[in-house]
Amino acid sequence: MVSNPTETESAEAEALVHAQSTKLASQPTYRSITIRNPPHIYLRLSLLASTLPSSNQPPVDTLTARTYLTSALSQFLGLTGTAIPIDFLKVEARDVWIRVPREDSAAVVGALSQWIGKDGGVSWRVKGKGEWLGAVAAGDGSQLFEP
Amino acid sequence: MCSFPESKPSAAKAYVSNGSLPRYIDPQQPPSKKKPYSAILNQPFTHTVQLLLPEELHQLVWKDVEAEISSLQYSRVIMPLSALLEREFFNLYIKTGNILMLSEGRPGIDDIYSLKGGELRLNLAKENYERSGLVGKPIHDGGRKHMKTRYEVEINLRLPSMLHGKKGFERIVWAFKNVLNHSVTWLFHDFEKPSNSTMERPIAKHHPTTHICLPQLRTIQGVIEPKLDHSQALSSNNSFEQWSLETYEWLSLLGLESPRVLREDSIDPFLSRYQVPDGDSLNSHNIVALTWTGLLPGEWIRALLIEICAKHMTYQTETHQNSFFALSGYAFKVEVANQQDGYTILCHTNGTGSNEGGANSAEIEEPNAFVRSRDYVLWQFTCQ
Repeated sequence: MVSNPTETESAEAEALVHAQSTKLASQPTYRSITIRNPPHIYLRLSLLASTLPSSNQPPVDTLTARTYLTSALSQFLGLTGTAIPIDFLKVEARDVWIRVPREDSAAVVGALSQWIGKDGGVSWRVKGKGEWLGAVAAGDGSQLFEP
Repeated sequence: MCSFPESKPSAAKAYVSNGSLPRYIDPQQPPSKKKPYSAILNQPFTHTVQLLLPEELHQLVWKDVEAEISSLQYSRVIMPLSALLEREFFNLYIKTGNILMLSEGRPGIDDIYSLKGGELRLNLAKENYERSGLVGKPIHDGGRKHMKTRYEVEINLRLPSMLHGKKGFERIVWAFKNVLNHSVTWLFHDFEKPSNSTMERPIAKHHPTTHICLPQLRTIQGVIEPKLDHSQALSSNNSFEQWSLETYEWLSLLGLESPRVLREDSIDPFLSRYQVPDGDSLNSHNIVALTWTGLLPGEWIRALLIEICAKHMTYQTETHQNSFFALSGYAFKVEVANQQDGYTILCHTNGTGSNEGGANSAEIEEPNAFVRSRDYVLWQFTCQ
């Protein structure tokens, strides 16, 4: 959760001094903190089926998505891979938003990118990845340039 | 768990701070240097703005807010850089008027141009930079430390020396005619109010496609609210960090329209272990999400914040209801490193010892508790 203990301590001491000085003036406390290394990484994935045209691909449901993810992770990392906790935040059409622990994110992205399902040639595509869910959900705005 | 280290430690950071909003804002001189207004103005190119507020608040105040904020439009236009310096365009939009422009491109791969307040920024790859003959400075490209592969040229086109016929200016004209001469897609916003004579404006020559930014309204029903009051979390930095991470995640899930924050959500823990922090699963709320997309200038977002703040205050003093609103803005990606990702501003009643959504007797006896309702929490994000 907290990245650097010394950093946090010094920041805390600083905040304490600040808090004491504000308490004397009986004012509300003001804090200003920097968060590094948040606990989760958020991914926006899209399930691609190479055999079907993109217009009539059926929507994916959470259980199917989970099965495909487990298959990808166990192929790449064996039993260890299947133990990575994945939280599904939203499933819409062919897009899936998930949350994974920060230290496993590299393994998850690696496993998904190299996986091709046996049935019908499905594969995952990572559409967005980031530490802050709001920005992952909002995208990068590049669609505004398209006609 | 798995030993797959990231190639380098992530540069993504969130700066979280709390404070109080000013009691009175002069409409002629809206604040620009103080937080949270500075966070809005320091992000010049925003593509999405999202406002989350309870349905009751929306019903009561939205009509008034909508009447106060100006309508917004932007255009998509394809033109080369040299078109900026054509006499009419240059004089009307850059020297006397004020426009905001951003060109299409992938950060770190394509050349990206932007224009804000008369200042033209060219983010160029090394080859184009050297061929153009303009003076700029190397910028960090996220790769090796001492390899300079990208450069940024900043030209203030409002300087008195920037006139046709002057030597330095002719150099720019030469570079735009001979090196940076590709047509690119731009997003264009004119700060001047659109009048009837729009067709005579110089932009019309390039056949722009104009879009009017209208909010997309969605009502999310049956949402479980966490504890939005941050006063308890302020006791230490750790608790504030915990509170801000959890609350931001909840706000983002609302923005994403995730079913995880809904009361009737019954997903198996095998699929998701997300739980609303300190959520009161008996009380559910309806929340309205308004989303604008387009080229949204900071000045307009600031006006929206000031308006909604004022109406939120009036609402609270009149009804003694706890309510909140959250405003988020997400930036276009233009930088390779240290890109500003966006910000979120949450304003919430800071009434002491009050339960969510209820005007109980203690609150009515203590109307002063609502005087302190001008507190806000601001999140600012950077990605790598």
